[in-house]
Amino acid sequence: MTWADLSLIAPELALAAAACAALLQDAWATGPALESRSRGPAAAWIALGGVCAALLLLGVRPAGAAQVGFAGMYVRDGITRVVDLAALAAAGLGVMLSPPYLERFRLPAGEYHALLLLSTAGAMLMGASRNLVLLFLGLEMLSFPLYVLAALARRSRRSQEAGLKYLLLGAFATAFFVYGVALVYGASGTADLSRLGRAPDVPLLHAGVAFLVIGLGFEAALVPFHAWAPDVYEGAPMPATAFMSVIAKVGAFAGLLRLFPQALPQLAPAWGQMLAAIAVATMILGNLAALAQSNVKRLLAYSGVAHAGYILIGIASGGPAGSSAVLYYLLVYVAMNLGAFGVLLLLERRGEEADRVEDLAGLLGRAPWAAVVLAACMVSLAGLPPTAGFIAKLYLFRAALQDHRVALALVGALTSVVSVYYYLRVASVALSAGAADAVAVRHSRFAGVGLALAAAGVLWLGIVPGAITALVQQAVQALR
Amino acid sequence: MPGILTALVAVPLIGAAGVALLPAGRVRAVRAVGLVTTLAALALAAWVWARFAPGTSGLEFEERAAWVPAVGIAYHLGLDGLSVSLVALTAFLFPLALAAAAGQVRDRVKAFVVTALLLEAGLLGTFMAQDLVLFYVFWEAMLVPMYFLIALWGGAGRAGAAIKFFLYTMAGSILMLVAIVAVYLGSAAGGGAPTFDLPSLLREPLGVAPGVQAVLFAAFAVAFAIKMPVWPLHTWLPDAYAEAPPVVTVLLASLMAKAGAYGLLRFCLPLFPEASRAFGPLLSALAVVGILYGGAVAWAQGDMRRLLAYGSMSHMGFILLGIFAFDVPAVQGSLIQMVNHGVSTGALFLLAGYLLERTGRARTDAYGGVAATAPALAAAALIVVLSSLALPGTNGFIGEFLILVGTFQARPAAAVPATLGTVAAAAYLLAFVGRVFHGPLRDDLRALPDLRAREYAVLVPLILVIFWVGLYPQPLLVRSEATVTAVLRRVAAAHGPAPRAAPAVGSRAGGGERTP
Repeated sequence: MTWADLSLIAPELALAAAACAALLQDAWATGPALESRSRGPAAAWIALGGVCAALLLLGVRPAGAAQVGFAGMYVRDGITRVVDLAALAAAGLGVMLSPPYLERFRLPAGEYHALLLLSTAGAMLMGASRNLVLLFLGLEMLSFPLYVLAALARRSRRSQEAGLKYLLLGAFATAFFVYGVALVYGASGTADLSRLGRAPDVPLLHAGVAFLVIGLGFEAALVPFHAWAPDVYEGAPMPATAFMSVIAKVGAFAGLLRLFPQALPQLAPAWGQMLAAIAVATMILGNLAALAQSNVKRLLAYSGVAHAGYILIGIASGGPAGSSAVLYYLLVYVAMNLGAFGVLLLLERRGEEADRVEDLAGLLGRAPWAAVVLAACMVSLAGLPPTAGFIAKLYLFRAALQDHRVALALVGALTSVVSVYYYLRVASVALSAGAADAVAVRHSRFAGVGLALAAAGVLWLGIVPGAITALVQQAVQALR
Repeated sequence: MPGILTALVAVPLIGAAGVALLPAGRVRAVRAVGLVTTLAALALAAWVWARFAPGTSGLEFEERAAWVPAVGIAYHLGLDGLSVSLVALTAFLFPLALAAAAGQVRDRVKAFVVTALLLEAGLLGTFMAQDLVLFYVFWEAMLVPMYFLIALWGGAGRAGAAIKFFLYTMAGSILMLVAIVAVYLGSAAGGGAPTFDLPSLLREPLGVAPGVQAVLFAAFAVAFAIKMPVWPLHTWLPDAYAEAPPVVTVLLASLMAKAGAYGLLRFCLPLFPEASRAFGPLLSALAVVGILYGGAVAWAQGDMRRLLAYGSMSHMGFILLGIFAFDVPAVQGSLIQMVNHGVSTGALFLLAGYLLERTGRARTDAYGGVAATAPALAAAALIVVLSSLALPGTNGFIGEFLILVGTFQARPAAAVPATLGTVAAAAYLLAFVGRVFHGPLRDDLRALPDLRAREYAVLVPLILVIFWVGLYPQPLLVRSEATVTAVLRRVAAAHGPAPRAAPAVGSRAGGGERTP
């Protein structure tokens, strides 16, 4: 390990340092008491400082050629940069949107922020992997804090249940992943992703890749590895749900990008079909299941499953078009999903989370801007212009048709029609008259700025997509 | 440098932002800002319409800027003979609709005005966009405000009607989006960079197989047919028209339906000429079925707005019939009929809205003898109904006459049954007038007030346009002639005879080739 290596992972180091600082501040503020007492905004400011520092370190780096470090395990290239951007956006918004909730429900702020930052660093490592071992390390670093975050509400049985479920199933999936790494290594004699392309096409390699897909598919909530998502989303405290809903996708799809279009293009004919089948199943099941939900958290869980299916279109189509579409979608998904959760985080129904659809009734009268942001995010999730969700889907359809995967584009299109039903139901309840008297809206300047940023992202990526499109296309140039 | 067309889209958006910043309690200020905004848009549109130079088939007032250069999406606006009058119609109807809404929408006025202004921007953009993705953005962007207008301010069954409307139209348009991407990829077949720009796409034939062209045509045509609507894709229509607030029904029938017909002319015919010719007989047949079915069902309706909804569908059948006659007079007639239908059907739904506002009764048999207590209302209704019936001297006559004349030449088998549609229109519309306005005056309607000054202000401009187009349609016809000739020449270019010369009423000579 040299100084050059360390400077390569400076953004990750900044996050880790901020995580330690948040924990120490928590310990210092709590003193000898058993329960954390740190509820002020200090931890949030520290975390935000860490995220901003990481963003700055990301920005000062020249955009030129790929840099490799840690004996070829870590690569900082265009894909890394976009994945880092998505992960840091998720972390920044996650930090900004949670304080009112954390305060109201007395969750330990220090732990929350430290875990959030560590998980973000894990996702960033996955995006920078050039080696299966580092990919595994990133996956673990991403998911372990998420297990704890799901169980963060110590006095809530639902939260404990969610954490345990997530941990057990996640451990299972991780075991598959490690086994996959072992099989791939056995088949090709290397764990280096840049050398897998020359690996002999033997059954053992396919078996190993299949296990890798299980591990990553679990994290991304692809069908049939999605069963954990609704329960964990519903049970986990809402800020944790919001954050995990985006960061897990960022990490998992970064891993899939590194694995399929980049490392194994020679297996594309075999794996394209397989991934396309998974994408079709995921889109259909996610959207149909979401139709029946009356709990917004469960609804967004199934919606997350459905979106995983859409993003997988890009992986299955492969090539520069598919990969850039995946990167664009990840950025968009972070903004629109966190925007939607951010509005829910402001609400409270008699000391509980306001997570039923009808709790949103009359929101326009009491918090007009929050209602408008929620509606915009729902419109974007449904993939309608002029929001970002539309441009993101357009790029996916383009990738699919370019790769002659017409069925994939058609299923994506038709399931989006289904999704409109449940997204617009939420939006129209939020904009409707009538008031759910039991539901209180908390106003917080911190969360307000976060919501404004998320909404700006949703509109900016939808109306002026030029700059980011150029960025993601540049990022995947090496794939040509 | 943004030009006047950008200003036309931007004015409603700026107005919407201005309204959004006003406090919700200041209802009068909200309404005033909304009205001033739409009037400003009308002034711009009128200027554009007046300055539009007839005789050329190319785009005027063209504006082009890179939007997403990496993917080949451009911000490209322009007007030609197909769109210039529809833009003017849109800008003309919005101030009237907002003025009428003042008496009908009293709840969440600010949100209503903001949503309506967003809808106006979407509609204007739809008629001006010359890039497929830009068009799609405006096309769907008008759908979202319309959904909320129905779902939030509609009648008792609004939620179901709104989502039905949305799912139907979205199902059609998302398939069109996939087809748009396929067209885009097909444009690279010659080796160049793929593009979404319509004039560039039209410069050379699309690089797709004939079978694929038919599929792509169908994907576009279904999206537009749902919007119009064409039988049998109309089943969203009665619910949406009857459950929407009355002024929103005006916008639905007068403007949104036109966007569908416009899309057929703008995209389906020029992009897929061979497929258009192949599908022409089928679409003409569907048009005839729609005319007769709509007329027959309208006659059987007891609900005022459902009657008008089916009647509107029947009239849209004429427009479809004219388009797929591939004949200059018929297509000219269709274009002028789009404006007429917008004005006359809009006025009918406005009148129905005034009746509903006064009594809250939706069924025609709950009225009777209204002419005795509200003579001006009854007179206005009669004028509008007669224009819908295509009485000579009113606008409807010019449009339907041109359509039928053109269709008789091109597809006599379709034109003969279609004329029965005009008879059906007489039956249901006069029955409507008879049941509501004539007969003995019902006791509970004695206090029914006649038209108020504000309502005169809305209806008089509409009636003036009815007579203006009826007596002097020339300005409309000369504006569309060159473009229509160019589009039809393109359709005919594949094979078959050239389109016939321009009709006598629009005597200007046809323009040159359609050039980007």
